Amino acid sequence: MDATAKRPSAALAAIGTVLERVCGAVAVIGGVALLGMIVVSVISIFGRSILPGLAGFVGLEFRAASIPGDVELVQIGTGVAVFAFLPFCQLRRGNVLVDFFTSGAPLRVRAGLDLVGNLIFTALAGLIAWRLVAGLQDKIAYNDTTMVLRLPEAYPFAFGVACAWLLAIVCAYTVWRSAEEIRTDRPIGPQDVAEH
Amino acid sequence: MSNVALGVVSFGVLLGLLVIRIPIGVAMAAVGAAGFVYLSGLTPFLAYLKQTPWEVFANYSLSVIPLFLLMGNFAARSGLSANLYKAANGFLGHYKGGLAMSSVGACAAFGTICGSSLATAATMGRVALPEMRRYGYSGALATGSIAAGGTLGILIPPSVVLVIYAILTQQNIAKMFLAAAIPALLAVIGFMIAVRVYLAISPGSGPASEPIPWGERMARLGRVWPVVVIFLAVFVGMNGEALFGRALFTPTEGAAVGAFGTFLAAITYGHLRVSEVVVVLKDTAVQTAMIFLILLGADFYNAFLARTQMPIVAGEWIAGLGLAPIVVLLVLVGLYLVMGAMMDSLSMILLTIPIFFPIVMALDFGLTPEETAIWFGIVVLIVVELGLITPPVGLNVYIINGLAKDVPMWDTFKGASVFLAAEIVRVGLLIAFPVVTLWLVR
Amino acid sequence: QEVTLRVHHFLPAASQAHQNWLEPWAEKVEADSEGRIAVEIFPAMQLGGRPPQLYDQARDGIVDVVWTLAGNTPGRFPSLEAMELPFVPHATGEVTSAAAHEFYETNARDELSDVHVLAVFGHGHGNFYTREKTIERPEDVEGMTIRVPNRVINQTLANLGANPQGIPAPGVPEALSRGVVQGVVFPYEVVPALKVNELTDKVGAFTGDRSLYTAVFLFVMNKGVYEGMSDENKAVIDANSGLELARETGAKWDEWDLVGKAAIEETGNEITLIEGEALEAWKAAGEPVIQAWIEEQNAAGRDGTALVQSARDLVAKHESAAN
Ligand code: NA
Ligand code: NA
Repeated sequence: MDATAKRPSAALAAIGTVLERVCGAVAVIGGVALLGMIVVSVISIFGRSILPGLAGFVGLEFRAASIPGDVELVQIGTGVAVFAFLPFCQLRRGNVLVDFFTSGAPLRVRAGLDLVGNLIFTALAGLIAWRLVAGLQDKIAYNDTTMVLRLPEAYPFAFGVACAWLLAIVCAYTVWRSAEEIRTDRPIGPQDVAEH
Repeated sequence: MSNVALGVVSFGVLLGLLVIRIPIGVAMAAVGAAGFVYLSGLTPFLAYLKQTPWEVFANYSLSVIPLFLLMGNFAARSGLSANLYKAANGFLGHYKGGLAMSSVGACAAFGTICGSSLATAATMGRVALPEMRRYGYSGALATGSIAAGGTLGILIPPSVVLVIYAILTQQNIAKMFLAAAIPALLAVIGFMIAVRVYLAISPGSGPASEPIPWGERMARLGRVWPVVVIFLAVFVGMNGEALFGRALFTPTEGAAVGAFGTFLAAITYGHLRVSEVVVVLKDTAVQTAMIFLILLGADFYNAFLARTQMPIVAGEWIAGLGLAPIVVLLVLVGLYLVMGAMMDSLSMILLTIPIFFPIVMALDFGLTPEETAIWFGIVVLIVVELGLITPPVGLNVYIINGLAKDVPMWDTFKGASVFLAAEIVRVGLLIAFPVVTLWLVR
Repeated sequence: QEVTLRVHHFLPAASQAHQNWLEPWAEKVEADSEGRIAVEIFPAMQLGGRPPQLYDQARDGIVDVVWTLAGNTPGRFPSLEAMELPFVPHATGEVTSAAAHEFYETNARDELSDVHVLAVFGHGHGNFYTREKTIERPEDVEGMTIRVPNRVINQTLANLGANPQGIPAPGVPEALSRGVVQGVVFPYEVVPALKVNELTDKVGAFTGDRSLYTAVFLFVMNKGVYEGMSDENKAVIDANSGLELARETGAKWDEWDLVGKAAIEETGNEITLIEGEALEAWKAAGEPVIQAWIEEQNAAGRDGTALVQSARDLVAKHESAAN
């Protein structure tokens, strides 16, 4: 790198640090939702299949029972987890792309193409976040509930909407990050998330 | 522009976006959105967006993907998968390509507990890739063998896509799985041969290590017991009909049990520290989001393609050609391979079987209707999974490659290409000799 | 051709409903309009989304027409649920459907005011299909995981100590084959399409002139699409919708029930009739559900008692008309 190389913007670094913390924390919330799904499933299997089987084996009567609405809970948990994971993945450059044609290109060219991709993603994420708000209004207006537990669907959905907005913000940040990479001609932030 | 032309153009645009590094899920979503708006107008599309992302993500069947990824990350970070590959290396490492063959076998084994080939590829990618690289395997062979191995699971119960085919065509699910047994075995054999062929072409890709004394081999085998116990527990629970009269777990619950067991093994037997759980969750977050963004993009693109009615037009075109039955079948297989470049297997089956199935059933292959339906089904299921590893768009290849950031995408396709060749031989064999598929069900 | 209607639904193209109800309906609309209206049917959720979204897809114009279950969106159509209460619907789909459509016209227009309703209908007797254990009496469901189509039957079985699961119909084969559920409730009609005969081995079949439950089906069109049609096209749609369409559709369901029952018998599944004292026990088990439903409606500012009475009267009215 020559001496005239520009330094990346300090504001970018500061915001990057904040986003890293926020998105990391939100991703861990999603991970906790996954752990919750595991607990619900394991308890259900024990109550439904294992315990009655064991009790029958030793001659006891045990009424098979699983957690009511476990299917609904797992479904909601998956939705919450995936929404929570999206911003972190984008921040960490986790999304898959085809690098065959561009892997040999100079950093500025790659960063320029990434800027285009991040711009498209920003537009899509913003559009989705905006429309999900309308979807949330429907859920609230119609008072949609799950069938078995009658849980209001609006709460997990609202979490998803918040994550979608966070994703849109992160996407916009990654546009800026790509622009700074072009300007400074040096890589900024995580380049490779796969850990070998 | 006619709808068919629109479908073709959209595919060209999609490829163009992929070439210039647009993330795959983003490119599919963008093209799907544009096509949707072009065909149906902006208002319906804006309405479609209100619920679709939530409905795509909050899906009980897809919940196996994050759960199995979590399991794979626990296994990888705690050294459980390293133990597994140390054992495999002890027994097979002194054969050239032995570990790639082990990975294909492991994918087939994982296919017995997992009904989604994306989840199989992603989990095995997490477990097997770093290990194969550690033993000096090239990126191409390591990623290619897992991408191919992931496609095995569609013929092995549980298999969501096979069950959907059976329902769409009113076939007996158990008979379909029985008919799939020999073709699945052929695939495993074909992939083993493919590994040797690949090494003949590119000798340095899968080095043999020094033979290891039997005492050490047995010691290494002894250290894989937690993985074996967890696998057996999930397998028995999901396939419990023979023992208990019914399955104890659903696929999702099996994945949850697998993740739970692996977590316990990782902190007690492996070397996972509790503080590392956060790292595991974050790894899982990135891998899960990467897959679901592609699934969301695929939903956008499929919603658009369904509106073009391309499959119906293609079906009418084929039926109107008046070709010999076997030629029609070959044309259909060719069409599936082309479509496989753009769509995932489940969407393809849902969109095309209602149209193509009656065409095939009207042809005379010298088989009973049930035999024709089963034989055609097995061939189609194999071919749609092939679409997951064919360039330029192959979801399995993309996901494996996403896990191996240091391996260029083209290397993964290159590695997968020998397996693809083996698959084409297998499909040819199954088409030429229906008895191979039908022997067990007759 | 002036208008193309995209019809979206959740069952496979091989289902009776697709082949022998929606396709003939589409052909009739195309013929009656002398080709001005084209109808494209997309089965098995081909246009995306999952079954609970179907109603919104029609309302929002993502597609033009949908066939869906009211129970897919619990709480969205509270008054209509009166038609689903235990032993309110008739044993035949024909009578249930005529009553359901008229019930909609009389009591629930505002709940479906954001779409153009083509028909509201329902099926006749629904039965239990199980493995391991036959369900004959209410206490038999205790501890069993059973797939249900709507809130009302969910509540009925939950009261009895069952663990009901609300899984949309297309997910049923996998749920049964993997042991997510040990049993399902369905009319005979849908049994072959979802392979319920292969995946279960016992049937608890209801007898009598009323059904334990029904699923209220909605066949609805986007409002703007209907209103944007020319008067003569509207006339074609009007002639192919309404109470008569509901009645004919229900009657088709009754015919297919026989086909489904034959499939069960051919597979050799054991059928236990629920009659006499066991049937009375089920009726008794249904009463608290109706009472609780009435209280819930009253609390929400609707006259629950009047709604139940209206549903019962309409079923009785169309029952005598059918005889
Ligand atoms: Na499988
Ligand atoms: Na492909």
